[in-house]
Amino acid sequence: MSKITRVKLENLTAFGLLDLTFSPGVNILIGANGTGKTHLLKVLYAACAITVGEDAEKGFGLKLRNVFNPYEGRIGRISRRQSTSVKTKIAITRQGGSRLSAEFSNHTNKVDDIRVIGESGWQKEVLESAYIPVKEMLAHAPGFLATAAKREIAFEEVYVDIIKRAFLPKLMGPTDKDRARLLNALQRALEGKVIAKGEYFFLKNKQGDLEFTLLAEGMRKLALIWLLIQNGTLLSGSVLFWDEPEANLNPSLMGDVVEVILELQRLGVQVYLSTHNYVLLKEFDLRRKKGDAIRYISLYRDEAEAVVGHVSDTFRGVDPNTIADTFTDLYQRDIFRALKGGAE
Amino acid sequence: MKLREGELEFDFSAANGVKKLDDPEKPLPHGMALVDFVIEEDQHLVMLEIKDPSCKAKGGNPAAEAALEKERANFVKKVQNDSLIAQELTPKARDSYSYLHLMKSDGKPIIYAFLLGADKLTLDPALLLAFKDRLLSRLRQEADQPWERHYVTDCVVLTEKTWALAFPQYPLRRV
Repeated sequence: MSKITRVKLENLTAFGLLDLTFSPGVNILIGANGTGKTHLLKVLYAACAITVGEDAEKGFGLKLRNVFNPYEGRIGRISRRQSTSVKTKIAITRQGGSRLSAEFSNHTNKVDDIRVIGESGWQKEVLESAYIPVKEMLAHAPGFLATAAKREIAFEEVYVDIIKRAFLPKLMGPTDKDRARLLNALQRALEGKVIAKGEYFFLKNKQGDLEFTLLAEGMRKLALIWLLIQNGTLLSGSVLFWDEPEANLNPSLMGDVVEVILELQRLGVQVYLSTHNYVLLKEFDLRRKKGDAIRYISLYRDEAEAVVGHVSDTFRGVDPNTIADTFTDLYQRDIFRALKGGAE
Repeated sequence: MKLREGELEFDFSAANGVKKLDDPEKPLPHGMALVDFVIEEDQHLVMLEIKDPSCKAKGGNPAAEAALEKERANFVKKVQNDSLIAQELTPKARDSYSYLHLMKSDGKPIIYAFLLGADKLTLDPALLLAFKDRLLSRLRQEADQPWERHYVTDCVVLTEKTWALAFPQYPLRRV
């Protein structure tokens, strides 16, 4: 399965012109609120999703609309807001040169009016993927899929998709050594394993079966990763999108999460994640080994308020680094307070 | 006045006065561990302790290099297990305060400054900030009860890169 190598976005949501090349390993998006990290993840995810299963029939235009879920389903609402008409362009490239592109304007209402090019060639090769949204969904799984199928609900499709992937049955055959090691590491962090009874998920440990609604939200996320590895969604050649892995996770668990992400990358999974968290970034910096492919993508607004990006393959080279800058500011203010009279 | 501590040279000309407390040429009170310098300013005293794991090996030969590497590894260990704060930086601050008090030299509020010679280490402000918070908390409480007296008003943790942020009036260079 060939990974994503490049994206070019023009006038999509907050982006002006964004042209990024990706690492085949881990890609970490950082940037202030409103710099389009989640939007970038969703565009790439939509492109992956349409290579598999029922999403293949939807096609890129519809999938794109469904993961963004704009008001009244009007795709033009995800064009960059300007005082004049704008043309939005999306182009995604994979290893081997396969290219998928889409064009529409801020006046485009219907999905059918999106000009998609290269879709059939793009769909010839499967690219398994999973998108983990910020809000944890497994605890809310019962009834959710049935409701989503029958009613219009105000959830972006990424929420439906992740529940469907979590419900996939265990992969047939023996678990290979690398996956077994990962699953064991997660089980240690979780102190149990995940089981599903109908639409309900439980953490099974020596105390019995604990329903997900009773489980800390951070632990539910680890449980979800366990499920995705166990059922073969996350295998070599697949792509994991994870929006703010740090959400609801105690910093002491961050090392485990980063270790799992690095291991997945070593197994051949391409990873895209967004973060606001210093501990997560620092864990990557401290835990990366020779051969690990990590790319930091810093998104920021230029003078024209358009979001643009800067890429670095080292933690030190991330510029601008809003997370580090915040700590620098705190550090400086702390020094000045100390010199003026000090803490309480 | 220019003073040196290992490879680090400070120009304290702008200070009202400066004393080298931890002077190997003078006998120290038995059992007391003292900071390197006390700098007197208009409004307060600064007790300055310096650790320099970035210094060069004395003599520059392989044996000295190896000894220095061992010393650096030991230093990292002391940071990791908190003994640098608990067994060195805090006792030095407390003993130095006691010394100044007994010498009737504690007439101004005291700031404790820890300078880490770290041009070979990469230390983010986040880590320095966390280190400072741990140090201050230890300075405030070492036993079952916190000290009733805040004998230092606050502390700062600096590197060569951030020294000028706190003390631009005292130029520092590595010699």
